[in-house]
Order: sequence, then structure tokens, then C-alpha cells
Amino acid sequence: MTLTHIAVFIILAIITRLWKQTAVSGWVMMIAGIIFVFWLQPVSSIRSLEFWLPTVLFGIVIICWSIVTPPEIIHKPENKWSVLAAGFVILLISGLRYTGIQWISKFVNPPAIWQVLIYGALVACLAFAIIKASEGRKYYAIGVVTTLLIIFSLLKYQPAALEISRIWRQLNGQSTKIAGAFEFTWVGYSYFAFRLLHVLREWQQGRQSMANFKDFILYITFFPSFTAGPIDRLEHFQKELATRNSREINEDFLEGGKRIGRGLLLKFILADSLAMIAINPASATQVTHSGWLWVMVYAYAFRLYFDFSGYTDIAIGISRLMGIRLPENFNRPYLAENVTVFWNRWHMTLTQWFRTYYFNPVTRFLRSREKALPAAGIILFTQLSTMILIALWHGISLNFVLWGVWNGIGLFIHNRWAEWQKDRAKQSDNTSNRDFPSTVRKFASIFATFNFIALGWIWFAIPDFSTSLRVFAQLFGGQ
Amino acid sequence: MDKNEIIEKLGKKICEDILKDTGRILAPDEVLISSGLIDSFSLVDLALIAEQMFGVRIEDYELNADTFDNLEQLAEIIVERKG
Repeated sequence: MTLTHIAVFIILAIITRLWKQTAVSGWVMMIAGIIFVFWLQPVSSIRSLEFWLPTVLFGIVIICWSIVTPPEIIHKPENKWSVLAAGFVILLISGLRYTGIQWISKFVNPPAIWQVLIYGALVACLAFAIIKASEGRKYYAIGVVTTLLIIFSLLKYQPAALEISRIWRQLNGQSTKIAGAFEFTWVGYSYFAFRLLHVLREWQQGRQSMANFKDFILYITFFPSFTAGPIDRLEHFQKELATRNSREINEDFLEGGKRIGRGLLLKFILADSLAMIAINPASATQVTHSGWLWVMVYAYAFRLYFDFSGYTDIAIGISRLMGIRLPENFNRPYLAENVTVFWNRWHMTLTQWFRTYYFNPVTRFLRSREKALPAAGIILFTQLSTMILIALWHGISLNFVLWGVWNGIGLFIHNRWAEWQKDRAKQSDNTSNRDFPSTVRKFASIFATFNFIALGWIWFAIPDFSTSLRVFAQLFGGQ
Repeated sequence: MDKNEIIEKLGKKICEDILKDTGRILAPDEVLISSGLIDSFSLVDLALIAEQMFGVRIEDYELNADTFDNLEQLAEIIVERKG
């Protein structure tokens, strides 16, 4: 999100909130949301990619909604109108090609309209087939979940992204020699895929989605949180959407304004300033002084936090202007007294997502086996694999895996330490130390946890393994 | 089985198996998850305990502080599902 995006989003949020008719403002939010998804996609050197990626997203949204929604909701007349309206807006955007208004059409670079019409017809046929196939929907759900995960892997694995760029260029008749992995960038993919997977997985577990199409598309493409979260849950979002005009408008504007102000300060002043001294692949090879390296590592830790939590503040603030309260994503993580608490306070909606759809089912399966494995072994496996999956979400490469392993082992060690303390307290029957930790002990714990996390960011920031090792050695006085 | 009985049985089991502190008594409104008293691993154990003791399934997506954060809230879910 750029400052221009933020300014436009704020204006739209205020307009929708001041609009007293909830039904009308809902339509405005949906249509503006569709347009914003196109606007947020960066202009690509691959022809029409910036048009096709959002268009494919809307196709996936229609297919998912058709899978998880019961027939009595699907056949409501209002849903027919909202699906048609969404399709019409996309057609209008593709029609920009024929208007001759260069300064607008260059943002989305639409293809010939017949291609869009064929795509729309295919999506409509698939949606109808899904609606008709009441029992067969589960196979469609498996298909969509698998497709979403495959696209995830392709986007996060650079050689695969490069190959896709080449293929796409070839299809377009463009030169494949200058293809690059970063050309195939799908802004917001992670977050809308997490939301879609949440809805699909819970439907597979028997939870019906009662959202109409307008609420569903708004939930998936909600523009304040489209690029960087937080990841809300559908039922919570729907509740917020329905009650958005029931609260005091002045309070929402005041709170929303405060959060946006805080976010702008954190992201555009503090984070961007710290970026100048934060460790990066180039500076890691140039600086050899141990003291400076510590400063650069700390600067990176705070830059990352300010950048990400700043974005979250802006998203929560803009949403609050509309009367919608999104879940919190950060809760003073660097003041955590141990690694477990840190991961309960950092990117909270993402860690909760992985807990719900990976950690909990895997732990439940392993704990329920007739021949139970030792608890410590299960904890090591589930914590390590969860952190590696979170790491791979950032990118499929060795440095991210190492960052995941670092944190997974940190979580495991803390878990064993906490268990050992419980046993010790039980034996000595002395709980005063545990319940009332001294101030010194508290600060020492915060300091140790922060340093563990900050050192872990080295793996995250530097793709090259040997450079990371050298930075570690130099931080502790080696060469 | 009424709610108070469920709270008493669950509280005792949590203290024995999860907190490993048999002398402790959990208050019905004592915060369990958001306070960090029960970690994510033990939370799955708590779901399995509820399943074994009361024959009620707590789904994976319900294992969070938004669904229940103390014994009273968990007991309410169990009573509701037992019908």
C-alpha cells in the first residue's frame, strides 16, 4: 500500500460510514473493493498479468462461495444481483482497453474483451456444476484447496515463479530471455488464500457458511487488510459488517484516526528510517565491526516490527472508520518474557491460523493414537514443523527454513524448561518463585527473549547461508 | 450432569494432568488461554479430556480464547452439546 492508496481508502471509508443506508454503503464497499484489488496489483512487464491475476481471484471466490454456501442462501435474489454486479464491474474494467483513456487503462492493461467473456462463461459453468452437485461439492473443495496450495508453492519458490513468467511470456508472444521470477507477483495472494482455506477447511469439518455473496466477496477482498492482514474469521467479519453502523460514529472516527496516525508514524517514519541502518545482504558483507553489527541486527528487528505493525495499524484504523473492528495482530511482542509468549503476540492472526489448521489437527491425531508417542517427541515435531511451514510461507528457501528451525527449537526448549519448572515446583512445593518473579528476573527474561528473536532474524534477512554464519561469528567477536 | 459438576471435574483434571499441581483449585472464571496458563499443546489435550470425560467434541477451530477462555465457558459448550 502506498500513501496514495491509503489516502483513497480513508476517503472511501469515511464516505461509506457517513452513508446512513447500510444496504447502499454495502454495495459501494463491494464495488470499490473490486476496483481496489485491480489497483493494488502492480503493473507487470508480462502483458495483462495485472488484469488476469485479480480476475482469476474473483473466479476462485465465486467457486468457493458456490461450494460452501447452502442452496437456500445461494438462491436468494440479492445474491444473483451481487454476482452480476461483480461480473459487470470486471467487464467494465476490461472495457477500459477500448476507451483510449491511456492513464487509466495502463494500470490494469486489460486483454481483448472476448478472452474475459470466455473466462467468465467458464467460471459460471463451473459454479453451476458445483451448485447442482450437492454431494460432489466435497471433491470440488479438495480440488480448490489443492489448487490454492499449489499456487502458494509456485509463488513462493523462485525457480517455479521464473518458469511461469517464461511460459506466460511465451503465450503472449513476448521475449522469454528477459523473464524474471519477480514478474509473477500476486499481491495479496497469501492473505486471500488464508481466508479461502479457512472457509473451505471449516466447511469440510461440517461448519456451514451463511454468508451472502456480497459479504463473502467483501470478506475475501476487504481492501484495508487485503495486502498485509490481519486475517479475520468469516463469522466475526460478518458480525462486524452487520453491526457497523450501530456504534458511535465519533468514537470510531477518533479511534480509527489514532490507529492510522500511529501506523503512518511506525511505517513511514520509524521503519523507513531504521531501514537505512538495518542489516541487509549487502551491508552484512561490508560491516565487520561487532558493535555495529549488533546495532544493525537490533535496527532490523525494530524495523520489521514497526513496518509490519504499522501496516496493521493502518488496516485496523481504516476499517474502524467504516465501523468494522478487525482482530489485533501484534501485542507488544518484544516485551515477551519467553519465546512461546512472543509467538502468541507476533502476527497473531497468522499463528492462530496455522495453529487451527495444522498444529491442532496434527497434535490431536498424534495424541489420540492407540500407541501414544512420548509427549516431548510430539511437541518437538509439531512445533518444529509448524514453524517451518510458517517460514516457508515467507519463501521456499534455505534461509527461511533455518529461521523456522531456530524458532521451532526455541519454542521446544522453552516448553521443556516450563515443564521442568512445573515438576520442580511440585517437588519443592514452593510456588512463590513462579507466581511472583522478581523485576530483575522479568527484565532478564525479556532481554534474553528479544535477543534470541533478533538473532533469528539474521537467517530471515540474509539469503546466503555462509554470510549469515559469518555475521553470527562476528557478532560474538569471531572473524 | 450439570454445569457446576462439569466445572469441578474439569478443573480437577486440568490441575492433575496439565498443570501438574494437585493442590491447586481453578476458579470457574480463571483465565486459561489468554493468560498463557494453558499452552497450545495442552489445549489440544484439554479438548481430548473433554471428549473422553463427556463425549463431546471440541473442534480444532474452537481451540482459542475467543471460543472459551475459562472453565465456565467451556462447561457451557459441553452442556449445550450434550443437549
